[in-house]
Amino acid sequence: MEAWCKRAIKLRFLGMIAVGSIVTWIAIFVFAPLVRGQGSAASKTDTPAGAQIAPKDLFDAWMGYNWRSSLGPGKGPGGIQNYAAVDQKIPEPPLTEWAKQHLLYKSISHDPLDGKRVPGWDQPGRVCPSEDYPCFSEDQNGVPVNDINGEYAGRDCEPLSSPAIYELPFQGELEFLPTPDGTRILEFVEYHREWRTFWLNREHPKDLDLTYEGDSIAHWEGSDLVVDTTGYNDKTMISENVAHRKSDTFRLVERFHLMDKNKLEIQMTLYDPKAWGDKSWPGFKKYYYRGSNERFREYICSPRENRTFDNNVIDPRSKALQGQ
Amino acid sequence: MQTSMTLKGTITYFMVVNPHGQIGLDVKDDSGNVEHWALEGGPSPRGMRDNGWAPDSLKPGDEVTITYHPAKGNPHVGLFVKVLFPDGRVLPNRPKAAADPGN
Repeated sequence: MEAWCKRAIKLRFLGMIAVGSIVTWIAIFVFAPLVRGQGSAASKTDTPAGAQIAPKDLFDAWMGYNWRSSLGPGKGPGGIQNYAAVDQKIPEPPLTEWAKQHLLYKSISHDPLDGKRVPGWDQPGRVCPSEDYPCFSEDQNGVPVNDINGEYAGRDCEPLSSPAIYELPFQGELEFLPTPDGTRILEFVEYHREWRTFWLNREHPKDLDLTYEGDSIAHWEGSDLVVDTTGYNDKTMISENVAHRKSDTFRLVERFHLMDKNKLEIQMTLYDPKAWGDKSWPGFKKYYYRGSNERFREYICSPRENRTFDNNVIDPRSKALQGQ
Repeated sequence: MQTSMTLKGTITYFMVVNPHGQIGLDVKDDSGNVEHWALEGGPSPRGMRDNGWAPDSLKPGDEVTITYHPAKGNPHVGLFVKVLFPDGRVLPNRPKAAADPGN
């Protein structure tokens, strides 16, 4: 081959390498921030307007935030309260007589949603948590409330179950993961380290064992995931603001709705024929924000650790209130 | 309005546990008698972490000033709000505050 020909080939080859390098570096600078952004923590707010939301957008870790933001009570993200059930505005259906006999707690630790109010929060014998929301001495069924020895969700490390897992969104993340065979979605709850299985390919079994977490079946409505859970045992609290247990006919319907790519709204309707007859209790809402699964932490309720709290804090307060 | 008071004393224990953090504080009264205080707060292990607390933030023997809300009947129990160290450090210091879209 002539020398000039060899030189031309060599130059063309070197030219191709140079162009390829330039293109590669341009790609790195343009696309790397986008790739990095998918794994970065917190506050993903750069959703383009009109971004299409797909079912798979739910499969991530989601963080809840404290209603007590520095902006003040009730002025959390978007002005939304997100603390326990106190932001539930729809009244509870009236209890059946059977429920009043069988489901009421002796007392609860926190405020109810309705009942007999105290004139001010600083009442002898009552431990009102805060002046930020209404303070009661008993609920609408006469159950004593704000009792230091009263029941609260997860007391003594009892399972929270649903919907109490969403009670205090700032206590931990949620994570939703599909199984590879597509038959289930697993919901992991950092708070008290509970998890649930949402079955996509079946109905509730006829011979259902009653369990703490119940049996959940789910389907997609567009990009909303609708989950129907029944088969709960009757051992868990609905909410720290509701002074009776679930019965074994309790049913929870959840709609996981992405308001945008980074904001998840959980809409809930509660049913309990033994407690409320044919009436439902709609209107529960909780808000979570897309986070990073690096922040999913261990939150194990250890009965022994919990007992130190009772021994060091609750018991002395209880004795002082009784005048001992 | 919840009353805020301060206590100066010596840490006896500190736990970042469920359901709330716990601080044990020995406080000498004017006569030299030692009162054993138990303060809860947090609100939770996760919340405490996000607010700058670590399991070794307070060690037995640390001398601190604590702002707290007293419990009814004053049984040497309260809700801790802020801890001030002799060198001026304060906890909680809320390093995660910027990440909270509510802030």
